[in-house]
Amino acid sequence: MNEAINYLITGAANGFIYSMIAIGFILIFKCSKIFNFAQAEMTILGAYIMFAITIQLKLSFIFGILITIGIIIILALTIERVLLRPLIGQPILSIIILTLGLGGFIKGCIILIWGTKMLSLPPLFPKGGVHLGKIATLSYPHIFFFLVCSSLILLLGIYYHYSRGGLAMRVTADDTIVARLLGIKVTRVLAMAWVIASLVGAAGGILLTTVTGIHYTAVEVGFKSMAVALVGGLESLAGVIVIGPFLGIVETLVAGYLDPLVGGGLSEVASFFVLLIVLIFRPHGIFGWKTIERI
Amino acid sequence: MRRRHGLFNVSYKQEIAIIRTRFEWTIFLTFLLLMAILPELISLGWLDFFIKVGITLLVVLGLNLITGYCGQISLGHAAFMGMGGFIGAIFLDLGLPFIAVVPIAGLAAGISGLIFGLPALRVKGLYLAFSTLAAHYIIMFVIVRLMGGTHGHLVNPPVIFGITIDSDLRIYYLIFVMVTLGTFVAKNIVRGKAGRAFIAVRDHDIAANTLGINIYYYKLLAFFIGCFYAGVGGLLQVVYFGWASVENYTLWNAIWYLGMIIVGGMGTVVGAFFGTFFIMGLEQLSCLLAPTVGKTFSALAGTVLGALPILVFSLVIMMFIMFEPKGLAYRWEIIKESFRLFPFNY
Amino acid sequence: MLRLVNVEVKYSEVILVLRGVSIEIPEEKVVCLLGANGAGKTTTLKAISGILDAEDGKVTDGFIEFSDQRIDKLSAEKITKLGIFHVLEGRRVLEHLTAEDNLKAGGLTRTDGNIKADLGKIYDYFPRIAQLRKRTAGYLSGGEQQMLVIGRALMGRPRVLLLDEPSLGLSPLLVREIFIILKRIHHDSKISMLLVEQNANLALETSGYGYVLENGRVVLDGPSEKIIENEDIKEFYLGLSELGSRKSYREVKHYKRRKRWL
Repeated sequence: MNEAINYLITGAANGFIYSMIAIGFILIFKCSKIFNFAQAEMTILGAYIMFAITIQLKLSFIFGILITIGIIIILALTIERVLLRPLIGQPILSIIILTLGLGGFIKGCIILIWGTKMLSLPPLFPKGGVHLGKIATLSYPHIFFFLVCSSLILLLGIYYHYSRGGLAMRVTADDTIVARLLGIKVTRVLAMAWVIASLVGAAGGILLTTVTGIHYTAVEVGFKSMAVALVGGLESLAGVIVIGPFLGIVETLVAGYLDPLVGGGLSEVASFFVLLIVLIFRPHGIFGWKTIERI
Repeated sequence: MRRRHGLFNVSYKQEIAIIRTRFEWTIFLTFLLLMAILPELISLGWLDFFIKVGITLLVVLGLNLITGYCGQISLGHAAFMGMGGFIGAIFLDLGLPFIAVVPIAGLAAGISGLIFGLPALRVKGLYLAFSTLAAHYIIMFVIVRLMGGTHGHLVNPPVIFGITIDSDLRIYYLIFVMVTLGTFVAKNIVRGKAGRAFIAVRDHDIAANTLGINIYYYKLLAFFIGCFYAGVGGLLQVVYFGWASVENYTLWNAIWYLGMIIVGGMGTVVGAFFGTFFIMGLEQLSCLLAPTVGKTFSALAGTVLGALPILVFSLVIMMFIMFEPKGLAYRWEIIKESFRLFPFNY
Repeated sequence: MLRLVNVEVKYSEVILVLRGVSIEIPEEKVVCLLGANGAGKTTTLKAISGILDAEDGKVTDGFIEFSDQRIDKLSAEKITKLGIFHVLEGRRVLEHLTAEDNLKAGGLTRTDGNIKADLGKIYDYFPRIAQLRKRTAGYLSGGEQQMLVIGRALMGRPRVLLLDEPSLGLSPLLVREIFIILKRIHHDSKISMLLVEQNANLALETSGYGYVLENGRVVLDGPSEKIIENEDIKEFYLGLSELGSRKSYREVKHYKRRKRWL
């Protein structure tokens, strides 16, 4: 019994990591109907840049944060302008391949510049965590993730649904031409979405790598976050905060109970099983927007 | 495909002919001849390249049917290739003759394509891409868990009609025969009822449904046939390498295959050829150039060999999507047209 | 006042759609633009509202002026902020938003805070929308969607309203209802309107001045009453023969009447 609760808690905590990265997917998709397959790579890139500034150039932590933010903003704006603006309204395959290619390009650059060895940032959090009786321990990074993730989603959700800027984003997500005809500067909305998504991703990456270490294969987490984004529905921020921990729990439960039976590895694909099943019953994710097609 | 001006089709047979004029016959037979005597003309290192291209061609032809003609985005193609490879390796180990294992491997991949193509009946576009992504992970898990994927399988050289295929040269000819066969079958599918149905489903499946085309049947058929090709390709690959191993079937491979049909031109059989030759040629080139690049930019972390193909490929893909989304096949048609119409512009 | 002077529009640099179109929409007047399919009516509206670039179109000659300010080179958002609102062909509601959110979206250019009051006014004009305000806009019927997009444009307190085929695909009863409301709106707030319509009868009834577009050229213009009386218009756009009665297709001889304006 204790074991089960332990799994639940660690699973949920892990899940918030996925949620954090999934926010990036949702933000960009909500505004431009572009699914940014490169989000995971951009997340890791944030960690690498931080590493470069703080460890390789030996500048202070604050400097590191500021410069990383600056570089990420410039990168996001460039990508949005050069690559993605011409692609709005193109068939979905072009967008998929382009963002996949972008992800590969970033990965290639990372390998080229920083190599394939595992790197690590100076630890941000003290060791240990909060003990919940004898049942489980929530490590500090996990707690931090949970807090950051939920507050971000809360803020973003309020922004989206109750502010004029958020309404502009929702309008742009639905129909860019109508948005322009209503006076919305679509280019600015998209650029903002990209910048916010990239910053959130980079922050997530930096936090993530304090737990896992910096290595380009950490992008595997990206695919799980994609599953989170899809199961929740690509237009739903609220979905992300619910589904992230849910899939995390599923994963740890499977790892705890089913993996020993099968010899391991099932927990990795558990999220994808869930994804398949959800897509069959709710093709647009649990909280996503349905495509309204009229012939 | 536009044929030359002044060429009139007076019968249906002529209109759908794969090779229509004597000129096309000469080109085709010359190409066949060239490919047949290729091993005489090149060194052995390059033979490896052409063998790999041939294997990939089969896989890409299959993916072209699924994604290019039928419009179902499939990110799981590498896994289906792996299915064919591993099942083929297992059955070859059991001692079955190669001729029998070919359809078995193809069927194994085809049936898994059917199963994991079922989401295509429910979801479209991006969400379908994701179901195929999920399919990739699940199939790879099955392969690793149930078919000894982590260890791989040793594969003995197969024996066909008494000839043991144990040298690169013989494998080349085997692959040559299979690719020619595969291309003809693909062309036949494409010019017939199924091909037309595929295109209708790709362009507007709801409208196709109202015209009486059973979209469920044709979507699944596309997956089956496409994955059959992948399975046969996988089998040929394990025969060539002599070893079945999961490292050949990563998600990255699937993305490469998709990239090949985009670069080559989706929805054309010749596009699969263009794309495969181009991308694999680029990969070969960047591998050859990597040491030189590494020397000039020695400040880099010395992993140029690993990173350069990825970089080059990603860049090429992005450039093509942005500037030449219809691929090389389209550009080739334009070049042909401009030659025909010279000195006029249009 | 909105003016197009000798406007030429090309798509993809080779397809010439408008060949020197000159149109004037005076303050507080309703002007209609008639023409068959492919005449260039929608392109004219798109040239005014600045969204030609989405289809690789460009104004290659002539200019467009609004209150003595050239707008043909401005971006679509700026043109909208100047007070020119374009209601697109085929309704184009924001499908996933509620009806009320659609209307609120129309008010995004407004810097004053009177959105609620204007919402009330729109619900007053279109009572059917008031009942459906919380429904997802994509599921509304065609007529309700048309009312919604007109209301959405009105929320921005426009100075000029560009309406592209508001009667497209609607039942005759509903079309009549919408046009009555349009007349009411014009009477109340004196917005100038450019009405593009294929339903020539209705358009000429609702407007004060009309232009007839054919193959990218204005072939006839004048006060609506004069146009209704014009023999050529009667023959080719209103379906009436020379004697003013319904045409019997048994006696149709296509060469019987030639267009006198060509």
